[in-house]
This record gives sequence, structure tokens and C-alpha cells, in this order.
Amino acid sequence: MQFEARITPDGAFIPALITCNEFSLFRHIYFLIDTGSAISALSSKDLGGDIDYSSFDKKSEAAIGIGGSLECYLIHEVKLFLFTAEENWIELTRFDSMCLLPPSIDLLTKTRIYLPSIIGRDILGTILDLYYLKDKIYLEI
Amino acid sequence: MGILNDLGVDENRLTGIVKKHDESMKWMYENMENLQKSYASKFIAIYNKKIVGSDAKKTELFNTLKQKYTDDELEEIYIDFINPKGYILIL
Repeated sequence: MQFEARITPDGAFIPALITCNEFSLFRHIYFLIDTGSAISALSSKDLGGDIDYSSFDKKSEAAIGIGGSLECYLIHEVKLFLFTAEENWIELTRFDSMCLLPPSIDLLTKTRIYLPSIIGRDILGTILDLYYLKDKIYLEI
Repeated sequence: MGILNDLGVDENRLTGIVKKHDESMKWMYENMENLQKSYASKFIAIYNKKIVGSDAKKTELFNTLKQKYTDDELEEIYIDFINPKGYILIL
């Protein structure tokens, strides 16, 4: 079974849907395929509105990357559904918890920046194989 | 019956929405340079290849859209955040 990515200048994105203890998202969101990330994570920009982070558990480790680090929060009992190339939805996997990424602030310009939601190496190369071709990018079980 | 139907989600409807959002996302990236000039650091709403709303707060944008569009139309509206020009993703 294949999952075809949407190729953009920011990378390749896969349509997905999640449910968790804290909320249910019945709008799909686009997850960036990111082999550089150890874990999958949900961006707060893909949630419905203003978020009170005090209601979420804080993850013990911060997320680090080029440019600095970012505290992240946890959502629990996460089910991840993916949209297949054959236009069906399947439940791909469940996580006890998943990282919720808040916006970050550029220290130089004080500008708010959002990272995208991410599918990382807890899925890529483990549950799904990644095929990164010149004109097509897809995941396969 | 699809797996999402068990959760109360109409899978056929959601598949149609994915296709609409795919078109909108493609249009957004094709027009990103202009969008960054006008909507940097804002959430934008795209419907049928047009900007139909923008706001720094997603909740405010959604509330504005709710006054203009039906629930079905709202589902088809693609909302994303426009990062300012000058940033690239190195993840």
C-alpha cells in the first residue's frame, strides 16, 4: 500500500488525520516527511485555535534543531490515520504520546514562526519505507 | 464502511476535501512570494484559488469565515500560516 506525497518547495507532505485524548481532529492535516527528525510531531498551527498550553503535559526533552531549541508538549493515546494513494484511509499506528510543537519566536526579528507537523523516523524506515524519486515521493507499507 | 466512518467521519466527503485542499496548497506555494508580501505572520484562508480571509489569530479568522460560509464550504477552505520571507526549513 502506498501513500503519495504532495511535493512543495518546503518538502513533501502526506495528508493525515489524528485523534487523541485531548481532542479529535476531524479535519485532515499535512505532515512533512522529515528523515531528520527522530520523532513525529503535531504542529500547533494545525489545531483549531488559540491553545492554552498549561493544560498539556510538558515533554521532558526539548526539540532541538538548527537555530535553537523548542519546548514541546504532549498529547496522549494518539491514533494516526493516513490517506492512501488509492484514496482510502487507514489507521497506520498508535502512539502513547506525541509531541505538540508550539510556535517559535525568531530572536532577531521577534517574529512568530511555525514549524509544520512532522512524520519522523519513528515511522519512516520502521513502519513505512520512503521512496524519494526525482518526480515522485511516496511511502509504502 | 471505511475506518473513519466508525468515528463519525464521512470518508467520501473527507476525500473530496483532501482534493480541494491539495489544490489550495498547490496554489499557495505557486503564489508564496506575493502572499509573503501581504500576509506574513498571518493565517490565511484559501477557497477556489482566492484568499478569502486572513488574521494573526486562527480563532478570529475562523470566526469571521463562519459568518460568511456554510459548514460544508468551511470544511473546504484551506487554512495555513504564512511564515515571513527569509526563512527556510532545515529540519
